[in-house]
Amino acid sequence: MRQYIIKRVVVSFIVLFLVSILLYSIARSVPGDYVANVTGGNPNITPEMQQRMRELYGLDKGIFEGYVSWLKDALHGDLGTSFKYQKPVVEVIKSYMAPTFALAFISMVLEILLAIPLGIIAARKQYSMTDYTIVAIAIMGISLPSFFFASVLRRWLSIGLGILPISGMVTARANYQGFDLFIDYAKHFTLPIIVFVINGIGGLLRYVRTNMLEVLSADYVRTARAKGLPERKVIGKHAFRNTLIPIVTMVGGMIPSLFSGAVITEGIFSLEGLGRVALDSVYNGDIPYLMGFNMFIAVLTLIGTLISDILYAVVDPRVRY
Amino acid sequence: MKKAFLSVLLCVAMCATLLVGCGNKEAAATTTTDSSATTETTDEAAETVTAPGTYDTLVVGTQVFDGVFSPLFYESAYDGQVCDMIFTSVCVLDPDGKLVDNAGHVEVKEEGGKYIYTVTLQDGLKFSDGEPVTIDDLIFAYYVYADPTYDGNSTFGTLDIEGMADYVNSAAPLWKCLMNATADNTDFANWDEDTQKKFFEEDLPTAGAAFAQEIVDYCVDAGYAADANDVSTAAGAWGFEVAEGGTAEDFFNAMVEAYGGDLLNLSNTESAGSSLFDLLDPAYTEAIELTDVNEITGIKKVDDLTCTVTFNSANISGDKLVAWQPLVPKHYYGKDFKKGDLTSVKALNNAPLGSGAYTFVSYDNNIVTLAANPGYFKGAPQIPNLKFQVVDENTKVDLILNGDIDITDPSASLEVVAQMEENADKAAYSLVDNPGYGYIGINAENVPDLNVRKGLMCLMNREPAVKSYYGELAEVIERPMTPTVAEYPRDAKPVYSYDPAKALEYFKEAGYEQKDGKLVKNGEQLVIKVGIGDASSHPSTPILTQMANDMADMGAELVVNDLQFSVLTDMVKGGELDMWVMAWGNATDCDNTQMFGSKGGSNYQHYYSDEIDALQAKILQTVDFDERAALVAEELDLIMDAAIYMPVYQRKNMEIYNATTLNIDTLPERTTTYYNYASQIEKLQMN
Repeated sequence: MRQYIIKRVVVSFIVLFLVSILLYSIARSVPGDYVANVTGGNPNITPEMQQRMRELYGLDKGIFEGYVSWLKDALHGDLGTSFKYQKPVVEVIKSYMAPTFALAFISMVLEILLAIPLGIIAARKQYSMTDYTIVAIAIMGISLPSFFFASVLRRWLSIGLGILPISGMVTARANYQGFDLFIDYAKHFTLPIIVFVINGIGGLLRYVRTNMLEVLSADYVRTARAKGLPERKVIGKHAFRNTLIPIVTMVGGMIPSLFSGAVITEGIFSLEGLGRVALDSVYNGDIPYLMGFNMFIAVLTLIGTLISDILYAVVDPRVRY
Repeated sequence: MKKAFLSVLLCVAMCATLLVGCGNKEAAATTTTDSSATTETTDEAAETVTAPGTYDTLVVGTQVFDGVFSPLFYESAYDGQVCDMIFTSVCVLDPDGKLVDNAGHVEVKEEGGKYIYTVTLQDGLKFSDGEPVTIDDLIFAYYVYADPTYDGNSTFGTLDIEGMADYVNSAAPLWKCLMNATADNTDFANWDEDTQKKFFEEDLPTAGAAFAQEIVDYCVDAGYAADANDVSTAAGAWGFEVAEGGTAEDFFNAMVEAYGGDLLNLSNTESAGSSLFDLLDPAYTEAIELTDVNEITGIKKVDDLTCTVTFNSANISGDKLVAWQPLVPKHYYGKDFKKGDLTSVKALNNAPLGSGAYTFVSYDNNIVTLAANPGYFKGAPQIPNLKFQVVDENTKVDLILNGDIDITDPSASLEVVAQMEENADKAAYSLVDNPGYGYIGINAENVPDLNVRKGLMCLMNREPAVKSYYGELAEVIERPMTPTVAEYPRDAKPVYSYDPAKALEYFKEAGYEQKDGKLVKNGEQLVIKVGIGDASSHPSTPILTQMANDMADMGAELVVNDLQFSVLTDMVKGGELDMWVMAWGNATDCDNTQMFGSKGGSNYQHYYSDEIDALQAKILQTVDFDERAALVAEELDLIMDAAIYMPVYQRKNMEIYNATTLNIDTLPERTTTYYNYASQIEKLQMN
């Protein structure tokens, strides 16, 4: 086991290194660099100024040279200064992380809490009206474009009924403090979270349902039933525990998504999150931020898969490394 | 047992990953307390402002901030909006765009061919921390702009001010120094003779040849030249003459000659991929300190409230460049400022301090919070709190009607105007001209025949396109300049009206003829490649659609490329398009040299005319307005005759106001491009 983990960690580092090369080459090959984008449309900018800015930002260097200097700094723990925000990349990520994380984490917890019981119910009553209703709603959730769904909800709940705010993170006009501020946050996050959960629940729910169906037809469940165990025990103790195995691994894979942000939802609700910042940095060619953020997500992805692989062994006694 | 331990460990690991997020919330909270702490101390010093009515907080809806709240460095207009509230400028613009006194006064006099601007500040001004404002604070801003490592939007460092060039360029990459010194240089204080010799005799020609070879290879790929050794033909296609059998080096020399030795411009304009300097040995790109220039000789302090700025040549915007500048407290920003290192100045980008109407409190939750500055020199603002909240473009109107925000700027559309009219009891709006314009450009290198260009111009039906998209919210303009610039010739007549028959005539004059339903010349069909960004929602799309149909009827083809904006920019710069649709913004004066001058950095139409260059130089030296306006009109006529730029529209910007919360009567009498609620924020009242 220990050997397996060590091997995986070493492989992860190699993967990270290769990912960084790939990311850097792609980021630098995108048409239009930061200087061109930020000075575009301004009639007063001279080529000398642009040239000077390129030198300052290191954009006059070739891709290889640029990568080497980025790597050198990164290995010393310096991810550079974002062109756009004029602040160290780590600081920018930190300052935008809280809302993104709060939104994704609360949504993830709600998704899990809703998807698992609903999936189990649907599986137990396969081909019944309940099953069809649950699956139909799940598929509708997956299929609804978030911007459309968000607009409909807003029209109904914010503009029509006026019970929830239209957008933003707090009520600007009021200067809430303490508990009132918390309630204000909660009100502003309600709509985005609903959108998130409805859009995201379908995948997990269908996964649970399929797994449960498989487990329910397994021999040991029939044995348990034959022993005369009450149905509650059959489901709760024998079937449900076994469906947990693949779910645990799936949840491990969700870790990076907690931080990657949701561009569209954040944009529509004017939330100050990482998704919007990341998209902007692509448009602007903010290379240091793009590199820093993508490496952060890459590390989380690797940790996430590593944890879920190990958890797999922990929850499933048959798996040995 | 072992397994249980491991699972606990893993759960801890998972939680640890998740907790990174929570840890940061704390960090964010501390930064805000820090900044509010600084302002609290200042609040204690003076009395506070209280609201007379129901509302005490003005909420302005804005778009995404970069968080760079420094007038010296901000790039985004929304960051700039916040800076305008916190900082005061020496002079400001009046509703007509004229420079008028604010915290100070500027005067110019000519002396022996030099232009000396004298800036005087009002006495008794104070920053919000109680320190007095002196001329050193203005001079500090000048020095930041002029710093060799300055990377903001100000062009101050490029002005023809006495001693400026020496100050800015005192540290430069080795190649630049060598190039400026030329091969004849005998001063070897900063590099040795061998380096210089090697550079001019070996390395530069080698890089030059590689540079030229890249162009040749490009021409071969594009089918203009037979193979990589066919330098002569390729050079011909690129617009240079090289004798039969010439080498890449000859080609490079021909280019150097054509540019009069200006290699920077040559590299920028002619490059087929790499810049000339990329091809040099990296050792040449390292910066060296030339001389110890620590002063700009043209900027002199006279007394605590007065300074002079000496220009070597006339500049029509000199007064704006010198005096339309913020007063930035040197004691705060400049504590650790040294030439060549702006880190300490930039470190305060998130904690601005100035002498404006409001002081900075915090930036969090996508909201910038400001508090009234009771010591503001034009009188304390009447609204105690001002907040800028980030809102989505599509919700701006709903937020105003819902009462969540008080002022915002949706993009002007007929729909929004209708909504405003419908809710006249709850909201008000104003429309002003946007200081920019939309145009269609033609690359004269790709479409070298003047008659073809004129033909294309005659196919652009602008009026219906602009009217259907904007209605009354935009007008068709006839010259490539925004009418918000005072020199714009308002009586200009259209040069090319929409007339397909006339267009066909032009094409025929250019030697094209219709054969088998195709418009051909030397067996080749007329095909024009045009680029547009976001065509589905672009006001100029109908022009291109109609053009494509008309051209198809004639037997020619218009290939429309719908591109993402940065791709479009890149293709325009790379000269890959015959025609493109774009817009200019932020125009402040009638200087067109960047767009139409032979050496202009944005001359993507690649049309070079000595006549235009001469006129532009004259315009920039002509101080008399009427004379200058006449020259501008002449210049614009020449540009139209060359058929390289078709001006399309001048659109309007919109501002909408919440009439329930705001006392609409306290808004400016005239809101214009240069003057809005923010210009007299201290007078604005809430109900």
